[in-house]
Amino acid sequence: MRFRQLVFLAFLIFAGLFVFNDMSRRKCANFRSCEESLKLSVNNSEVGTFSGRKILPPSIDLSYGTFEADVLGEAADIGEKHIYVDLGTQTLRAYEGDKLFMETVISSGKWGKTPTGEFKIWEKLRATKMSGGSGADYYYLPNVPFVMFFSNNEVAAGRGFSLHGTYWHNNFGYPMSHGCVNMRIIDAEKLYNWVGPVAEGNVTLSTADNPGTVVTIYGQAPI
Amino acid sequence: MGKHLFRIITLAVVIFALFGILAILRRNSLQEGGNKPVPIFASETPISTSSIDVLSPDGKVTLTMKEKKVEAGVVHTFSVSNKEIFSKTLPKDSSLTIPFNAFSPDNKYIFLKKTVLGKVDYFVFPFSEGTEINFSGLFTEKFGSELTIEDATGWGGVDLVVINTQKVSGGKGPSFWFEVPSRSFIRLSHAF
Repeated sequence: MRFRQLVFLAFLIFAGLFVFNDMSRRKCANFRSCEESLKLSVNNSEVGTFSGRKILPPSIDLSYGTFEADVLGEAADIGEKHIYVDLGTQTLRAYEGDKLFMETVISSGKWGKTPTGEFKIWEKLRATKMSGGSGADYYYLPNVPFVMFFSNNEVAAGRGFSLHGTYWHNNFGYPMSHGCVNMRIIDAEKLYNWVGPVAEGNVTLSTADNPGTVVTIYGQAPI
Repeated sequence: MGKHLFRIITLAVVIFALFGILAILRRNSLQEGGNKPVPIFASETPISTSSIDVLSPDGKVTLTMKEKKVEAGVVHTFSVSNKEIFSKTLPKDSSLTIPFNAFSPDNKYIFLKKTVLGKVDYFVFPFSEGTEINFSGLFTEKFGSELTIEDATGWGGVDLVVINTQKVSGGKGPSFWFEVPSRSFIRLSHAF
């Protein structure tokens, strides 16, 4: 009887550890590549997987001159840059002061929730690798282009939520992500080259002198 | 008297000559007119044309749709990077539109929306095959007794069109993927 109780207790401990571990991993937007996704990663020979399909990622040229943004201090002073993401309409608007810079449709979280609130871009990467999901939802996506990570006091930087280019689906205007904000590559590139921090290479961290743009995410994504 | 008669005859000859000359000129005029091209109102007489360019999400491919109004309706011609891929004539009061998410992620397919007399059909055009796949028709054949297509929103994968449906009996139906290579439908557990 005592032995059975011990076995049951051990089972409970193991089950608890498994669930806790799984939940803590799922806190990341891309739980299989949580830490790795925060670093520059280029794998031009690798094949991606999404929706059970193989897909060839875009080739990333790190010498490509994508850094067309205003050089620090040279930007016309027409107001603060601010990005608004409306989950309800699945749209993104970027303003500089009162002036609309761009407006486009996005895809927010479907398999994972996109956090709401006011964030700041803390890192920009020319490309990285993202992987996660399980079963039919498993995904492995090298060369995710034009990645702009955002965070705040409640959503830690390490969780890997970002705005980024998307090459594996084209269903913008509808939730399709695991928590990130998916954008068409042409839109992500345009935003990447405009948003703070101003790119200083293929990896740029925001600083006091080169701050990240504010991102406000609000609304309720359609089911 | 003889002199008077001579004048009358001369006048008559001149008048006849004038009529003769006029007749010859008129005949020549008619002959010239007969050689002129006669307008033929062919069925493809262009009335007006318009052109729309749509860029793929990666910015690498441009799809151009040219619309030419003709007697019979509208001729839609599609080109990819200036190479014509297919053409389709639809009757008047119909439309062929390029949805926002028309391109497949790998730029191998596009899907289009056709509306004829209020009836909506979606079809996929594989660039490599040159023939369209009307998946609305395929869906109706398979599920028409219980479901209708509400809309096709985009691509859930490289070859998977996202389809939302309505129940014939009313209410929202399940979402599907239309898998282009196999021409089959995959019922999804979650709505899109």
